[in-house]
Amino acid sequence: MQSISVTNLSKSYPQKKSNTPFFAVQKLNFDIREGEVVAFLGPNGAGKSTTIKMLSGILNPTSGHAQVMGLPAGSADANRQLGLVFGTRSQLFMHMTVYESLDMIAEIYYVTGENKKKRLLHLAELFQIERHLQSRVRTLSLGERMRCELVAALIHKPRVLLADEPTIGLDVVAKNRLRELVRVWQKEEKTTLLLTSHDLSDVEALCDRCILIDHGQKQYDGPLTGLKGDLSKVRRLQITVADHSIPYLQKNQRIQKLEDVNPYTHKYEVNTATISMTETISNLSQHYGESLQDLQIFEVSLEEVLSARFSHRELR
Amino acid sequence: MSLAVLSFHFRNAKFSFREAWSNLANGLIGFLLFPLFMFILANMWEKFNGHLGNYTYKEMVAYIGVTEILFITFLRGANITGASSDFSLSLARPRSWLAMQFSALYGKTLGARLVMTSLYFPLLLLFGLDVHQSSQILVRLLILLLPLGILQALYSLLFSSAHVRWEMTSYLTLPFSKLFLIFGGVFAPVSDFSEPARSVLLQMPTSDIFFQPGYFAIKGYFYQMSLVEWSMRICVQAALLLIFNILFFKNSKRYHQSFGG
Repeated sequence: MQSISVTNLSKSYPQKKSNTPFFAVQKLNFDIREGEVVAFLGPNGAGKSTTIKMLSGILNPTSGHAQVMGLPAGSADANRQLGLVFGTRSQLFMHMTVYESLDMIAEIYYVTGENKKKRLLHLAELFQIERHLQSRVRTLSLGERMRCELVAALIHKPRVLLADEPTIGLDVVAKNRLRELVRVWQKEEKTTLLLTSHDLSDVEALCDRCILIDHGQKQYDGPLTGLKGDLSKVRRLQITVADHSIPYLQKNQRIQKLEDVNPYTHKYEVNTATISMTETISNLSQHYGESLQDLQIFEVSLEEVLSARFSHRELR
Repeated sequence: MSLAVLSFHFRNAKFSFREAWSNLANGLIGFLLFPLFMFILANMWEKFNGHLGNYTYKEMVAYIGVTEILFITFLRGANITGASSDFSLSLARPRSWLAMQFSALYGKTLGARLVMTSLYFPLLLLFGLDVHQSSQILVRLLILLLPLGILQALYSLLFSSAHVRWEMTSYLTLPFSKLFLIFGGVFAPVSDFSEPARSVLLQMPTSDIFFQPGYFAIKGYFYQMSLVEWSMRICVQAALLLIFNILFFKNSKRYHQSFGG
């Protein structure tokens, strides 16, 4: 069954200085199967948040339609199947305790009685917020609050979770912890997750599939590895040498030198389609001999791929 | 509307009231200022309007107390992006946004007014009114608080639903409340105004929700109108506000753009 189904979805706004409307989203099509974890990527102004708003009923589409668990997006029944987390917004009640906030949010989603209590305590344990339950929301750190926001979004056991920048502003430790908790929860409940994030390490850690949009239109839909295209075969090698007087390896055209990190650390780039890693390492160790101290291999990051894709993008 | 839905909205109203009073410092400042306003405004009235002889000083103390209770809590809940949960997220919930906002605003307003009223009674005694007179005024005020709370919640809701569509309208809340302050007879009863201002102001919705309730509380009847007439005017206002609220809210889902990022 499809969790999310989007067909020719468009959203336009009238423009003051022009007769032609501005399209925030234009004829967008995609389907997401139940239990999939999908990244929804694009630069600022690409139409990601507008799409999420239409999926959750905050905005009505100008044309086309969207469905959540087979129900019209925005309907009360569809919203009961949906959980929402926005890194820049809060659905908790700042002056109340975490427990009181979660209790009220559960009631809003028709979760009552013993079920509510059980679910709340289970999620509190899973997301490690038990000791904050009696704290006022306004006293929590950002990392603690985001874990509580996730519990608030999941309290009614939604079948689909839309998460917009859930790790924004978090430090590395809090970010990694949140990702791990999300991974554990997703494994347990098999909920469909549509994740929007500018932090691509979130995406690489959690998602297998990615939908890329720009100017309101779909640019790519497929596995994360496919997004890299030919760049997926490119590897960077960082070597550290003991003797900095040894010249760079220049004879081999298939091993290209990149910038120096420092006189003792050099960087090279190879395309594994033209030269194997075995041959590359053999060439480098022959060239540097006993002086070679360390060798590290890196893939091209998703960030670089997207940066290359959108570097010539016109701002609007 | 089922019993479960009613019960939820009752809980929502109660929750909203508790949230508003969870910051005790704010509440206490209101408590401290309330008797001060009663004293200053009643004395100002005596100095400038006392010679008209329409009211006694004690009646004026009681009148100012009622209009202050109503005004201090007027449109205070309209700030939807403040302390409570984010409004855009609340649009994506499986319950009616308008109904949820209404019950929250009603709970916040009525609760705040009841808290102020609990202070009002001992203040009346302190200002020299006898127990019998103070009790009568209190009962009349309590009768009016329920319908006035509905109207107040609808006014606040109007600003909330307009805000979803036009973000800038939040800046209108303050000038709008000042209009009610000036024309509603909060500082001095509209009946003390000279003609033609008095007749004009009596026809405005501002006097229906401040001057007339204040007058009713101290006299036991409305000024130049019957209870039925006043009730009809309140119902018409409520109906119009409800229509505007629905129109603003429906429109908001087509246009509001304040949630990007």
